[in-house]
Amino acid sequence: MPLLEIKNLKVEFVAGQSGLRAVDDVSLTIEAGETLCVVGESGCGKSVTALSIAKLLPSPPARYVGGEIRLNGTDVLQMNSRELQQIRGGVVSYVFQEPGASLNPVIRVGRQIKEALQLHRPEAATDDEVVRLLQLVGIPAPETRAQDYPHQLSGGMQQRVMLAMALAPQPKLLVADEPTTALDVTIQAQILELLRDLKQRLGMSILLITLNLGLIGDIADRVAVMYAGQIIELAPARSLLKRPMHPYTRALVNSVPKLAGGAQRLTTIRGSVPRLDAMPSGCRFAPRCPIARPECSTGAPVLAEAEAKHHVRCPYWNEQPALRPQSLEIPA
Amino acid sequence: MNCALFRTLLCILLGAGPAQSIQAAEQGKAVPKRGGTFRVSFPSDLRSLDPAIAYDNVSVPLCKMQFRGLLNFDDGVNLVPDQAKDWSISPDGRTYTFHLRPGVRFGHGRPVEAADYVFTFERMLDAKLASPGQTFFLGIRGAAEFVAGKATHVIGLKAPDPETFIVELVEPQFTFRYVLAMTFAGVVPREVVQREGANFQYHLVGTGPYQLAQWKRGVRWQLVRNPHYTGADGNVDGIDIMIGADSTTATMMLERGEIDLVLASPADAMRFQRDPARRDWLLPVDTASMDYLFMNTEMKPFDDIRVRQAVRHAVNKERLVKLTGGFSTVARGIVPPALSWTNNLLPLNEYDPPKARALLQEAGFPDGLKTELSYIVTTPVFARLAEAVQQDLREAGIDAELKPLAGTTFIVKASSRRQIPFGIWGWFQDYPDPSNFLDVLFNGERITETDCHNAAFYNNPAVNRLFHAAATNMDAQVRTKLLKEAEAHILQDAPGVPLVCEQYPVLLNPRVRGNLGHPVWLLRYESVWLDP
Amino acid sequence: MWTRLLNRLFWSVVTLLTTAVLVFLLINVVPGDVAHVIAGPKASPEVLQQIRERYHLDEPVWKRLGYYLAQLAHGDLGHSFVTEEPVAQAILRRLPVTAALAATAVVMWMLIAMPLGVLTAKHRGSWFDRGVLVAATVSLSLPSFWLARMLQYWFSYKLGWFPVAGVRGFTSLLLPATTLAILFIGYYARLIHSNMVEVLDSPYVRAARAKGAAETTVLFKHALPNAVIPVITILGLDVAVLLGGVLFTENVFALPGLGKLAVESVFNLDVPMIMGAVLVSATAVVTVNLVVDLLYRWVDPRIKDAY
Repeated sequence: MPLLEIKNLKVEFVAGQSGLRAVDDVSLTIEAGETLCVVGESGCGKSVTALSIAKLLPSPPARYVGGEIRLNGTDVLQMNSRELQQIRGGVVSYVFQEPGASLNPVIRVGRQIKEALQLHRPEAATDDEVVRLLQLVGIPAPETRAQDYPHQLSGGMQQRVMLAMALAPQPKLLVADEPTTALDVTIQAQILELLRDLKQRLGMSILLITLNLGLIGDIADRVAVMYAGQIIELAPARSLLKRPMHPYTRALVNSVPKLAGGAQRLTTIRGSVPRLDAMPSGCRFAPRCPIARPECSTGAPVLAEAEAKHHVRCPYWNEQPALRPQSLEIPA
Repeated sequence: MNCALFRTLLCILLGAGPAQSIQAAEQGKAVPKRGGTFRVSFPSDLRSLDPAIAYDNVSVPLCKMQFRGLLNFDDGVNLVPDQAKDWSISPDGRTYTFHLRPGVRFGHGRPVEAADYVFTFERMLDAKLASPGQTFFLGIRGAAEFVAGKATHVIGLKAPDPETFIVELVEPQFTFRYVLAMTFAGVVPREVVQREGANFQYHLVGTGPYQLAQWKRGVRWQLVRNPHYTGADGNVDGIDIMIGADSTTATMMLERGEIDLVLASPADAMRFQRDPARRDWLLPVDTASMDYLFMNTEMKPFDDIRVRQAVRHAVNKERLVKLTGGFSTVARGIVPPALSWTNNLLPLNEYDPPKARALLQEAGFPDGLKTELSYIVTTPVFARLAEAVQQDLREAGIDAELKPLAGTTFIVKASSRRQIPFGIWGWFQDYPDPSNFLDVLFNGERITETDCHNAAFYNNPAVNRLFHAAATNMDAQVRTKLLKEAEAHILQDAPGVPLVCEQYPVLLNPRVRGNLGHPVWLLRYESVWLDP
Repeated sequence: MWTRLLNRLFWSVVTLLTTAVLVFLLINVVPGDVAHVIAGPKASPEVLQQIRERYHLDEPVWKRLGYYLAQLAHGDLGHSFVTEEPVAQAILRRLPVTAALAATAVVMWMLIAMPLGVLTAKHRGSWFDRGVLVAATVSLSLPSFWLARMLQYWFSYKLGWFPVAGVRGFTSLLLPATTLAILFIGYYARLIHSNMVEVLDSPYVRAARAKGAAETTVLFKHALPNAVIPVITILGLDVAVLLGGVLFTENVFALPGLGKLAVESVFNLDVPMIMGAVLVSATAVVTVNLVVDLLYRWVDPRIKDAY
């Protein structure tokens, strides 16, 4: 049984009488020990999907109108608050984008980590365990650092603390929502290295949300590409990078600046992401798609398996020009 | 006057035992019960109950409970011997001889001696103490030298033996006898005062039916029965005085049975008056006082007698009484009705606006005149009187702008020369003699630049001569004639217009019995008893 | 840290001195003869003159100010003109009542305002939230003296649940403290509400929920401590307003506290007592604000390092 199974998830945001559908029929799975990356532009619904896993969306504006989210077999969307409290931290942990803002400014970091322990592993809620966790995430002088307040730590340290806090209850799934976007490049690399290291050591599943395609090659097992509330491509990482199928994915891949090969014009995808209240009928990418044809706007395409384990939501994917040889570096 | 109580007093004087049984046997009336605590409330704390210091309407009756002296007043305004067995005045009117009643003791047990009286009177003259009652004792021979520090004793005060006390005055002074009944003359034990000094006010000892048990400044006073007092007064075991509640709050407490006596606001008093079930809670106590309009005879336009008389005719006194809620009576003359005599012959109301206007025209004000009317804003009665008078004056063509002033500001200005042309003031008697109103307020020879009680700065030589003669004349009837003549002059000259005599609307819990009101002492707590 | 403390202390003393001088001058501008206050309105000119000499009442204002400041430098607050009691003694006697009243009121309103603020923020837009908003606005608009009388009338007089006036143990403080609390509750409930609304939207609250913390823990251990920080400063400033409120409350309920003493002294033109009351009140306000300032740095760790 997969650790996480999202089936046909539909999430709307209430705006007056109507609802705006931010996540439209999304399905994905994560197995134990697997790392899934979700990629897409801002507003594509990836954070909403991620937050839904522990039902963390604030419920007056957000409304779950369909689908299930099965974590270890049980549907999260049907859980009561006590059950939710148990899975939050205990089964699925989060690391957020702005680490500084995600730590309580008036509580020392050690205590915040300890709280996570007290909630799910009370027998291990000791100062020693806090220190051990801080060491695990690579924080030097952990005993002193534990007494610090969040504002006394650098961005990178703060994110490590968040990681320690997320790992403390020993969750099965770590959801990292753009964990490095707010950090500078060198720190990004460090954090990523840390994640990879932890993944190997602890055998955790990771759901990594990112805007940054460059990360995929480093850490992902599988990748899901989202656009306008739907998954438009779902494939193993190597497959996706070697052979992006959906025109959008290709455009994304193309838009990554290349270090080698001389100066080039930066390519962009013309047009912009459709608004939730002005969703195009048929294929949502059609207005911006280079290979769009009239049928694309009438019938909505489905996510179909094009090759082994490689799914794409475009029937005409094969009719695109061949890719240039070195699109992205794939590590060995 | 309450006959039962008169008999009680008689018994005290004759040294008889408790009079209750005589009363009961003779009249079958309710026998005063002993016991219980009488609870009272005042809005602000008393300055002191030291007899040398207490001088206001609230403190004096309380002081009287603790400190008695040679003379006292009966239920009315007549002087009777109290702790003097008998007394006499020499033919030349200068020497007073008192024989002390035996068996009178202080609260701490010691019998009273004449030397204590010498000490008490000298204390009143002590410059360091600066007693407000000092002036009453300045007529004693040797007092001036003592005050100036030129003598260590007052030669006019003598104690030839422990039971005889003699006072010699410089000049004959008819009113000196009243001073002897005032609380200033309440005898104090000399060794206690010398020992306590400034702390005497916390450890008061006197010869009255009650003595101070505790004084928590700003919070509460507690008085308990004096075990050494031999009179029949003092039915309640003690008196509990709570400080700080304003009249609204205190009235609420009264209704809830938390206190027994309240000096109510006119509004609350009227409420009780209109309620048939509670009308008998109200006891309007007549005060020997007078509220009056004064006109500064040294300032225009009031230097003209016609203007002053115009004002007299412009005021509707009966309406004023109504406007104070009915808790006052018309002041026909300067001397209040409690002291009787000429009053009932004087007109009740001289309200005559046409006459007022005619007088103004004669005085050269055909279109009326403008002036200012000053008064103490924090005294509600004065404020009400001021507004009413203003309305009356308007009808006669006088436009009086109201000038409300704070208490002390008003007092300073009114008693200083040429400051206030027109104002409302009141005078409360020191002792029940007409000269206490007439001489004090309208004697031209008493005028000073500041601190002058003669706010009209009225100076009529003929009247001044009458006052002088009356002050030194020892014949009561001659004095009465002289003072009546003086009053007639004054009313004619109209430096002031007497308006009303106030009544204090006192609210009592029905369990309070006994003859509480008194024309001199206002409230006589020592005659109170509680049922149950 | 010590330099900061010394700096604050210095300015506190300057504030107090300025207050003392200003108030002294103001009082002496009021026309009115204190000698009459001391001796009574019927006293003779001789007695009045003696009193004037004793208290230097005839001398110019600046000279009297000098005498007073010199006295103050020796720690002597003088003696009351009316009762001749040492001012310091009178104030010390009255201070406990006022302090107890103020403290009770603060505790009362904070204990009610905090949960109200938290719950209305949590259930924003609900009928409960709107109801509290209306109640808060009403409570802010109530005239203080009217409220005091009304409470006294209904709960002491009509129902007899409390003593009408005077001090008879702790129950005597409850109704006056309630009066004061009602005046401030509305404001503080809304203040905490708006702070909470802001805080509840913040990432760390979401992170706390993501950790699996119970909702009450999130509200009261994570959100509230952050929301309450600005309230502490306001509380310090409100002490001055509170002292003003204490004035009329003590009068209506006849509590023998500093407020009542101050009012009586003003009516009596009892200059040393007025000065004493003003100085003590000013000291209280300055001290509370000093404490709040220090507390603030302790409560919000970010401030400590910003300086």
